Amino acid sequence: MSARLLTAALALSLMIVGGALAAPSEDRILPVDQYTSQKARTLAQKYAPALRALNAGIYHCLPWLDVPKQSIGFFRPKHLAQPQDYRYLSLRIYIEQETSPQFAALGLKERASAMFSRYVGAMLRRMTERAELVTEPLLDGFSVILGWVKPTSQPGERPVHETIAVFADRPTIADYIAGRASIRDLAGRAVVLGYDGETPLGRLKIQAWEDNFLKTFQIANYKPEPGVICR
Amino acid sequence: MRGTGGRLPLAGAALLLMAGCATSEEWTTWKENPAHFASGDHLKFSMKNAPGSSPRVSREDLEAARAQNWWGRPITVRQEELLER
Repeated sequence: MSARLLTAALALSLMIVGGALAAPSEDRILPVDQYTSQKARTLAQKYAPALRALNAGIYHCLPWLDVPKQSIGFFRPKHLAQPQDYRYLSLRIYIEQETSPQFAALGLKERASAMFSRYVGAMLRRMTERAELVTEPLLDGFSVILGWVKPTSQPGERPVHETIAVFADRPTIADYIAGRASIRDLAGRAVVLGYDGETPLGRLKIQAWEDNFLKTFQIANYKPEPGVICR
Repeated sequence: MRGTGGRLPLAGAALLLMAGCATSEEWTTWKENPAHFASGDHLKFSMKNAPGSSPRVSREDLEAARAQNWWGRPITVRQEELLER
């Protein structure tokens, strides 16, 4: 009887805490029934908690990043050979940052290198927090898609985004996560496609370096919701 | 005078090249100075947080600031160009 009461009380308190928390929208994750293959549906079902944790972690702990709708999931990279059903765990983020003359002075490839260095490794570590994903035989690789406002965009005008889409196979990511490959090695082994607005720029050669920005930067006075622990 | 005509285009080309590339100083400056969140609505935050109290910016505050700074649907590559479901 007391065990039941305890369980009920615990469940109630979790509901109260859960209800009080601002929560990320689940529409950031592609629903299982939207996939076109059984392989993808299997992955999506098996790793649904991991995808929700990824979404919530970014929402609470990196609040200057915006994950567009249906941008987390097990997608098939379009540039890979068809009809093989290669499935990559993919995350797309849009990075909000202050206008910076130094950033604007960089060329597009340098901006792409800077964003790669700052975000790709950190996102991959978040995406592989469930370590099983790195050895999951159904999973072929990982992709991180980063977008930011092109520095020449003007307030009041429709903004143009620059985008890089980074694709790496699972062995490459396993090496990176295990520390057998550096971020520079990762940049050399990954396929990085660039876009200026909607215009494809083809494959970009990225020069990457270690960047600990995400370990040190905090928005002034921002406090995550009570109970949320950001690492 | 004879040589100036040849040098001017060269100088112009060099200037254009320099304009297109960041100097190592600019590169280092960007790397060392973290970019900040663009849309902190400081007035609203300071109004909300009374003097003497510890200021607090919540996730909702940031969402509101983001909505205020939204310039419209961006021109960007569609997901369908990169990924299939």
